[in-house]
Amino acid sequence: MKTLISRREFLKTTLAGAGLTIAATMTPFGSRLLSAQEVKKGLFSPSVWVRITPDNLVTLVVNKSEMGQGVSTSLPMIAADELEADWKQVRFLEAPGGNRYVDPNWGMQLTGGSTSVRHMFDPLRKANAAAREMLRTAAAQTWGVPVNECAASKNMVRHTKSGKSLTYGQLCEKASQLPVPENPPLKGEGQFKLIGTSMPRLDVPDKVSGRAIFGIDSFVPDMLYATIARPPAIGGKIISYDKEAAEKIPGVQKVAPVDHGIAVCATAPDLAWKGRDALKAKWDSGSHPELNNETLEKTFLDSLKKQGAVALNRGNAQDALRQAGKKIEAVYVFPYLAHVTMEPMNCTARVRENQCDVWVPTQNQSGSLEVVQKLTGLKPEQIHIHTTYLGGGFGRRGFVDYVEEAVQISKATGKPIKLIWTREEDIQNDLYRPAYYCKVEGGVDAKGRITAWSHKIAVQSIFEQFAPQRIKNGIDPAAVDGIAEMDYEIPNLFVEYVKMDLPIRIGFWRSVGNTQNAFVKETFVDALAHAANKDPLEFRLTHLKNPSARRVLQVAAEKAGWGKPSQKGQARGMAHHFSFGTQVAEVAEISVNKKDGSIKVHRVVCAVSCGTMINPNIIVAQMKGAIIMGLSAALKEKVDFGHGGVETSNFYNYNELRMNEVPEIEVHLVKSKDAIGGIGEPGLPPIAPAVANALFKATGARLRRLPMTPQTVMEEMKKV
Amino acid sequence: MSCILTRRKRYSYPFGIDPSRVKLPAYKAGLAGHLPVKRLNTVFLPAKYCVHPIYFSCQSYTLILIVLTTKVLKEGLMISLEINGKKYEVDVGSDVPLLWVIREHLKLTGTKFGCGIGMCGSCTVHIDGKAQRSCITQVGSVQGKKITTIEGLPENHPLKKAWVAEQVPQCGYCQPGQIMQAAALLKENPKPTDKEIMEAMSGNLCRCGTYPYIKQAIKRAAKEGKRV
Repeated sequence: MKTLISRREFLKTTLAGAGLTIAATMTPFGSRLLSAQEVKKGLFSPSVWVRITPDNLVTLVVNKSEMGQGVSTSLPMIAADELEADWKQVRFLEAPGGNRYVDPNWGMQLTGGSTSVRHMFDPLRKANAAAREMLRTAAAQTWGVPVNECAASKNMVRHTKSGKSLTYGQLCEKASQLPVPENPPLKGEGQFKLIGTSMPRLDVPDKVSGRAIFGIDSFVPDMLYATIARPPAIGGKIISYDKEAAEKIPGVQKVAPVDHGIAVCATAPDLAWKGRDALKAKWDSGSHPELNNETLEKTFLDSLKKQGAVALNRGNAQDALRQAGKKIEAVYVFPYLAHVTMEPMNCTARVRENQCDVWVPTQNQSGSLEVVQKLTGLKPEQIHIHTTYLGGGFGRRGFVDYVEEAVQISKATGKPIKLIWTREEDIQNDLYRPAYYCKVEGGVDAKGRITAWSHKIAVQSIFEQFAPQRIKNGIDPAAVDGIAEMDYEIPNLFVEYVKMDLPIRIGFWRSVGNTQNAFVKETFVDALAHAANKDPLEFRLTHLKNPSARRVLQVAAEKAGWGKPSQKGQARGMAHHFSFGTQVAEVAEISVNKKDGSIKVHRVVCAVSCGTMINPNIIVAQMKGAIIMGLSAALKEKVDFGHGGVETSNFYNYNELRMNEVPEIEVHLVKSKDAIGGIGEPGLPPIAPAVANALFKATGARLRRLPMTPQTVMEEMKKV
Repeated sequence: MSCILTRRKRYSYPFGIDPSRVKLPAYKAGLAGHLPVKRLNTVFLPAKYCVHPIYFSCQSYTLILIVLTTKVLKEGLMISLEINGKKYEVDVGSDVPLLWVIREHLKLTGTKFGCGIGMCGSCTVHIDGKAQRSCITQVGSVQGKKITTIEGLPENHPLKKAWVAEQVPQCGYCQPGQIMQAAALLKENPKPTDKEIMEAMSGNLCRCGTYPYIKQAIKRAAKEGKRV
């Protein structure tokens, strides 16, 4: 999947269409992102990534979806820095779905894996450096002076000797007639003006005023609202439904069966729901009527007895375990989790004979394009994917099931439709973070060093469905993320993977396999440290060589006051994890109510090292957000199954952390010369193990079943 | 000379429909101009038609009521709303959630749908100054009340300014609801303590985890806001 298009080819393809405009495809719904900028005559657009107009405005095209992680600010910052643009004159435009906007690293237009900045850093710099050089050349030619006497800065080219200057707007026309340089010089270290500064986010004003347009805010003339009656059980088939009763509801205009159920379209969302209820749809008991929490648990525990595919076999873990001075064995249990983006899944689609428009909050424009093509038979140029703001993504919106549904309904009814999932549909038809069971054995020698580690993971395969080419020797990379390549130096390490075959839909959930693997690794290391009678920090440092890993642990520990006595009734726990190219360590300070088992997290100290930092404020915000989401999952979240389907349905039985439960969080940015790391996800994995380790410190109970609800904590405390 | 035929409110109306609260747009009532039915309460007639005032009063009014109730039952009530100081007439059932009227009928899309059961706070608006969940508020229950949405909160409101200064939003979807909840809090309690902020705000969910920023922004607005 990687490097489908080389960097060079990428620039060639994207630079080729000099002067091309893309704004024609933007509708009033999407263009709000741009504060209603219109393309004007004399446009200078040497690549699809940048457009400069005679009014001296710079429009930077963002090919990654803005879902809160800040790409609509960080990518323009990278581009504007190299372009020497005046930040006040910069606007951003969300790219429509199309082959010209693919991520050159992936060959797809997809946002995920904390890759946006990592993948777009070089291409955006190169494209904008080319534009800058063309503007400098245009000025030099205008004045008849050498190019090296012309300096670009703040949307302006200045002749250093005479002091003459021209704005980018004034140079537009001339620059657009020049050839695009293939290898423009890039700025060196220390020359950045925007990169590394906390510029205010470009999306914030619209998000505060209420003007920001999310997918659910799309309107198309003459559109109907669609909803789908769905089977309660997985794989359920329809037995009967009363089409006429639904059609009798005023406002209900169309009832049509689609792949996932029976669609009802009406003139308002509430009327569509009334129509759906009037259908009185009867469903069979589904493909797996026996499926429930208990049968799932049994299936998983049985699978842990099976032999798995070997992901890593270093040394001889079995022999080393036999010889180990002290040995620990543990089984870990993780539930299914839902994404629960605040904006429920939705999509507006208008299928016509020669054209299809889709307005959608998606992380996956390429996938959306593909599914529309498949359903309509239209050519890619006849399909317009308009990306709106995303009311949260977290991996859920990388899947295009809801796009598929909207297009199917629009096609079946011949009307433009807006499909809005209810929260119940959203929670019950998610692609969940998979449940995960794991068995670990480890041993330490007399000197207190880990000598052996044997690790068996049972989990469904995510990549099997979505990118089977990533599965090598039966190993799904998401299943063993962060374990097989862990930073700890262990001479005898054995990792195996048992692939679970279950009918439950699963997908990528913020930081993916790292969430579970970091928990197991970090709580198990903590247990080994205890067995070796060592301090958890010292024990970790003994086994870590990577300087950035050591550094984040030391910074987090120092800032949290590690080694100093905690406040009365409180205890500290720490965890470290490397994921998405970024090192993170976190220390949690908690107290436990020993009467009811409830955990209160008072303070979290986080240290992060991600190489070049684009916008420090956004990094801090992503860390805090990830810690809160991780804490929510660790303490509260769980999807329940019963009667062959999902029983959890809305916020009264899918509990999330609320403001009164959020601890004080401080984030420390650790500088390093490492390659750029991702930021959206790596803050999440360490928080759950940090809390569990603090719980052990406070109570002596080792919690290995998530979530850490008061009930689970009480049960474990009784065992101590 | 003319005699005045009036109907007083103490009577109970057929089907429980009070014609004084019924408004029909012109094209539906078949009347020229936008005539609120309220005016039909008082019908002016030349004296020569008043053969027997009481008899006529009963007959004509019954006729009007029959015509109206038939129309109303067939086409639904018009609901009058006052949102952000502007008057709206909407042709929806009185049991429709206010949220959908605000968002989908009137296209004030800053108010968001999150759960439909009042448990996430994304749909928070002010009704007579109090923060309410519009997804569980029936539109019929807020006629005659003052409704404020995020669009109606002034751009220079200390909370909006604080939200920008503290760079609160990430995905931004829950933020209008958060701001409206916070605005109601500050109106009631201009200098809330941390604990009071957390209590007032814990009904509003944010999946991105912007809670620490929300708290900071409310504290900033409380400090800087002279008029909230």
